[in-house]
Amino acid sequence: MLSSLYSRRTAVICIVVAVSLLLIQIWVAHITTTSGEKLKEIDNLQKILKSENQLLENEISKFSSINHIATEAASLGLDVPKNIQYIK
Amino acid sequence: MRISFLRNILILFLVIISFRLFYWQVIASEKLQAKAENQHFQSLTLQGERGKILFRDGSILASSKPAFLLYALPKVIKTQDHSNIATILARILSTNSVEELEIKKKLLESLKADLYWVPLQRGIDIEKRRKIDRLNIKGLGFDSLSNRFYPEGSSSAHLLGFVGQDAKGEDIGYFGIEGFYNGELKGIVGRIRQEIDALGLPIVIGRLLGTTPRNGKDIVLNIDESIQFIVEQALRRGIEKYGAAGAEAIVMEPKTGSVLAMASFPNYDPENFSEFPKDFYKNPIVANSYEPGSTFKVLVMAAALNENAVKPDTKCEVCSGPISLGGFTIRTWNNKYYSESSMTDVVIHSDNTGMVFVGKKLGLDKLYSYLENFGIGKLTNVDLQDESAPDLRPKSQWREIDLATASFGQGIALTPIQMVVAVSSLANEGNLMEPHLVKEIISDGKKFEVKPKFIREVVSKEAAKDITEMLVKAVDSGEAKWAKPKGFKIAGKTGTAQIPIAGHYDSNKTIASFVGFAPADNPKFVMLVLYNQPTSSIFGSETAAPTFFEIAKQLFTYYKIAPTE
Repeated sequence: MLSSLYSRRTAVICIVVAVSLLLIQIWVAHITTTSGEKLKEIDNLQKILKSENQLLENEISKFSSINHIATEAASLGLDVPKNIQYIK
Repeated sequence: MRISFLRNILILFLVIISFRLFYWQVIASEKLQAKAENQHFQSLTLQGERGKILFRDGSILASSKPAFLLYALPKVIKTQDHSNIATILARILSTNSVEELEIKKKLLESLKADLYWVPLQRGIDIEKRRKIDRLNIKGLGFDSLSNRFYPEGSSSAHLLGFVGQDAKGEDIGYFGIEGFYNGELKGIVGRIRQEIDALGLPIVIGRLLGTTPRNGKDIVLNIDESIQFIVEQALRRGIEKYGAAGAEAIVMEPKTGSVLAMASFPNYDPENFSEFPKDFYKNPIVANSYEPGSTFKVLVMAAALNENAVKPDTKCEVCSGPISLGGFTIRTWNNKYYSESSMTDVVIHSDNTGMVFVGKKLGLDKLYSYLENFGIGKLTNVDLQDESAPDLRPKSQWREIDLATASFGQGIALTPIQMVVAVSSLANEGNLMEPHLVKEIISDGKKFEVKPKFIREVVSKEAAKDITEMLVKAVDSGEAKWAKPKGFKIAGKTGTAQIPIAGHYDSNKTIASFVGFAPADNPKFVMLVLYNQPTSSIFGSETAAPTFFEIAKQLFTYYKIAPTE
């Protein structure tokens, strides 16, 4: 008698849990229906930002390259020192 | 009767439906499931970014820049729009009117193709992409790619190599660091299967299968940006000044084998490598062999000193005139002879007859063994893809004249990297180190250091010291003394080797070189400078030596080394 009561209660709990999970899944699916578009947008934005970041990094390295600095320095009239005095 | 007929018809329909269902559910199930999966899932191939190549201070030598593949969906684009689209795109993609016509023709052909997807152009930069995006043409799209970017332009081209494509159209490194470390540099492709909705958008709670891409490892070189620049500038000036067909230089740290600079001309632009002749791709410092001439005397003399076959003050017994041997006459380079020369004088005067004496004293067996120990005939195992090493002729094939000519660097071939590694051992108390360009490899923030590799002791510390003193005297009293920076102790030797052409030596075409190290007491660098066929003067003392000293002078300032004399 007692065991059949327990098994009936367990069955009811299982059904309630299963139905609840089903409802949660339907609810989550419903609220995330339009998230795919947002996700795609974020993904595209991430790609664009990454590209722009890479381009900026490349620009910095181009301007800080020794060849560029040497050209700029030469245009400003700077030259390699000819006579160096050593202080001992 | 009618009911029975109707029942039979229904049964027949039921049977037909059952068969049809059986066909869909069982027989065609796999095909349909695959079709459904194709609609539900989107497959994406994501390329991991190629790793960067950095100078030792972390500044960029090679990196990646975003690029795009322009594609078209011909079935989406109306046939009557083909010509207009091709005209507009060709204008954006071309740099001149001739190219514009060619591109337009190619685009039209591609757009007419009976395909769902056709590639139109690879390697489009972000500016051009933005222009095309603004046109808002239906049926055009972009895939992300990555191109190599070199902020220093063609600097270090030979040691870098370049990135091309293999037969499958995938990026692959060729030559130099790009080739040797292609496995480390290239990213790992990621393949993702993502559940999508009817509009092709990802389902957030859908299934996501596959692996994510992994970026390639970054490689930090031992190459010092400033030294590389100094060397390249000096070589450029030298080529012009001496009217040479080519020039090469390598600077190495003797104690570790770290390559600090490596430059050679003519070179190419790794970003536009296809516009240059293929002959330019190989790095001559590691791939081309040459007859070293007098610079080789350094190694032979060091071997003889180590074997106690001679001492710095040993008198030459055969230096009073030309030597006849095996039907050949061996002379000095200027036909001047000094009887009773000491071994130090032999090095100072770069005396071929004196070296024949040294070679004889040493003997073939010992000389051959030392050549092998110096690494002649073997790869140095420098971490560059294009290294090759000329064979050392088997000992059994050496005649008496071969021993004599080899003692002053004729009839023997080696690569510039072999020469500098061998001389480097003398600057490092006789210890031969393996040359290496890579300092460390960075993967996911973790650093893997490439440690210096000791190969063997070739000569003793004392013999190394003796040869160093002889080389210091050779610089102070030799043909190139006028160009030496005052107050610094530099050990070095000039070399002028005629180029063998069609079985004989052309006296007007030479390889002029200078190899040395400084400061001689505690060497910070070992360097080889080499000019191929200089025309203003054929001699190393008038071409390679001044360039060596010009670079050395700047290196002393860079390393904050003060004069000692």
